[in-house]
Amino acid sequence: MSEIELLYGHGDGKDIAVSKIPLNLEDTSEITLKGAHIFYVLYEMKMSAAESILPPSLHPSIPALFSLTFIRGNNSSMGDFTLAYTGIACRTGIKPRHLVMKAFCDNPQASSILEQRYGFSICPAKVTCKESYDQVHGKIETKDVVIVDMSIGNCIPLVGAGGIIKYSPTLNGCLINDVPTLVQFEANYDFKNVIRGEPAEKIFNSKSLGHEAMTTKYPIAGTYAAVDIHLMPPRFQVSLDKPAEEGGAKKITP
Amino acid sequence: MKFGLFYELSTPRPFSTENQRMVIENAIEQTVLADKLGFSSVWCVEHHFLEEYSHSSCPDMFLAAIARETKDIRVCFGIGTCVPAMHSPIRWAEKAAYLDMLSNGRVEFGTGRSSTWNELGGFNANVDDTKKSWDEYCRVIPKMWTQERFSYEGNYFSMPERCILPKPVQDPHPPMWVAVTAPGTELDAADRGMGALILSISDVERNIPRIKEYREHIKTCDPVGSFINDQVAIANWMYCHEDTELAKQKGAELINTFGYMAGQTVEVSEAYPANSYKALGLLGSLRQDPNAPGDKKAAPASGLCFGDPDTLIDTISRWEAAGADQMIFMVQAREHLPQEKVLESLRLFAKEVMPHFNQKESTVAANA
Repeated sequence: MSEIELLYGHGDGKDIAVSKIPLNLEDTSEITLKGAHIFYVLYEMKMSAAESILPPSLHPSIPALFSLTFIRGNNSSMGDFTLAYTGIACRTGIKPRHLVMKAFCDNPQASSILEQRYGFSICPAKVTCKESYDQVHGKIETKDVVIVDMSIGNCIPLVGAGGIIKYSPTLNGCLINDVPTLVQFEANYDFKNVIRGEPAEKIFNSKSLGHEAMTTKYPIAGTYAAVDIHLMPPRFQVSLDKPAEEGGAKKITP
Repeated sequence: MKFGLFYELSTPRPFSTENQRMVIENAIEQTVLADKLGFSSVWCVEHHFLEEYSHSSCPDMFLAAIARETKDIRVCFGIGTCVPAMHSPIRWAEKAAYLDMLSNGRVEFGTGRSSTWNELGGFNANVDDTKKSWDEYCRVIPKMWTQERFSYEGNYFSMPERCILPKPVQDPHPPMWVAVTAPGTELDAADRGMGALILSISDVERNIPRIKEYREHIKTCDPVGSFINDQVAIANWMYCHEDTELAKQKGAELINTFGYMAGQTVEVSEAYPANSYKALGLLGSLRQDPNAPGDKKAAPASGLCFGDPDTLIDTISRWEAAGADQMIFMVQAREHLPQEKVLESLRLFAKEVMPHFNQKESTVAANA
């Protein structure tokens, strides 16, 4: 076989949120969120939709998936905050990633750091993530309109979570030298405990979350983890139009 | 030491009739030659929905085609998935026995439970219960083969009394195996008196304690079948060429191609974390991301069979010393190598490497 056909996205990048704030690559210190919580829900979506959204630098995951993630950090150097974002599963070469479609945060100080240090394009919102005795709830409200109100129930504990749960790094749209670029947001996780439950939605406004193709027709699972998160300084950037195999993914040099 | 071939039937895009047929026909041609050369087994996976990586959804049919074109080579399920959403154990007992008839007693039956969301999610399987259903299947299938009539009431499968037909040619029944990827599964195999089909491509040294523990455990096993299948088979890569550097280069290309295809799958831990999947499966271990902070950078495996005959004799001798009974080789990935190069590699291996390990096989090879 001489020519091998590969699957790539064929989107033009217009659906991807791109932060206009220049990425600060000078500050390479790690930020630790001790006692944080991650609420992560995964759904399947149509492959044709994922292909039409992802740029040519990324391969869709098979099957096509999207995620909704809430990260609640308390008493961190960023203050108390809750971040929420949606992401479409993809790959750069063999590496699983999630391309962030929309991000929301309830704390301006944390939003500023998340934009400058990690390339998130943040929409101000009221974001909550809280657990009750038998459920975990996530809610996002922008301009007095609730765009997400969902939960997981019938939860079971997962034992030895570090070995059985895996969060893929995200790719965030931002400007590097005035060029729209994807920067990799990655972290290390020290899990304290994790539960897994079945997702249910009262409100899920796909369009407001980044794309109307992100529907909740095929939920997979939701997890809620108590975890220490060590945020790493950005190390990799990915071009919007050049595949990883052709040099589209490279190390960031400040 | 015995030698076999291992097939995923990986297929290049586009998934045209021509490409799909080419992969199957080439694999059959290789196994027909391997039979003449003295290879002792051909193993075929069962996978579903794994685009490019494996189009082998019906291993029984592939093995049946081989059975009718070969004389001696054993036809082996590597593996049959023991998940109720995919198969009833009755169907596995029937298919394996039917293939045993078609091959005149050459079947080996490997068992497993899948580790990808692609497959388990696609069949809407209960991810939390696959280990338990696998255990139940392993225990009932041999009884379906050996008992004239069989009935059962279990947690994942029940049936009123029926005669499951046909019965296998092999008496009392085909040998049974377990696919071993996650650490500890070799002990699950040993405790049940089943062969360990070690599918994690890794170093010889890392497998020495694993094989040793398997041998210890199986001494006190409670066999699920009518006999103990005390065997360890190691899945590995093989490309044999007089020019070692060329062989290693081609080997690296095969592994990169394979890793790229494995990268397209979604491991259970990425989608539906479960207590029953505490370690990455074969595909997950192959697609570990050296750039992700949580993943350790894996050193290249030391036990791969790429090189000239002398290099391969040295490598396989180390596997033999580690306690392996069989080496089963992947020789192609997405048709990366031209078919003639694969056939040449098999011929050279049979001529120069096999005789070092088995005098009988060398006689067969010399006459092929």
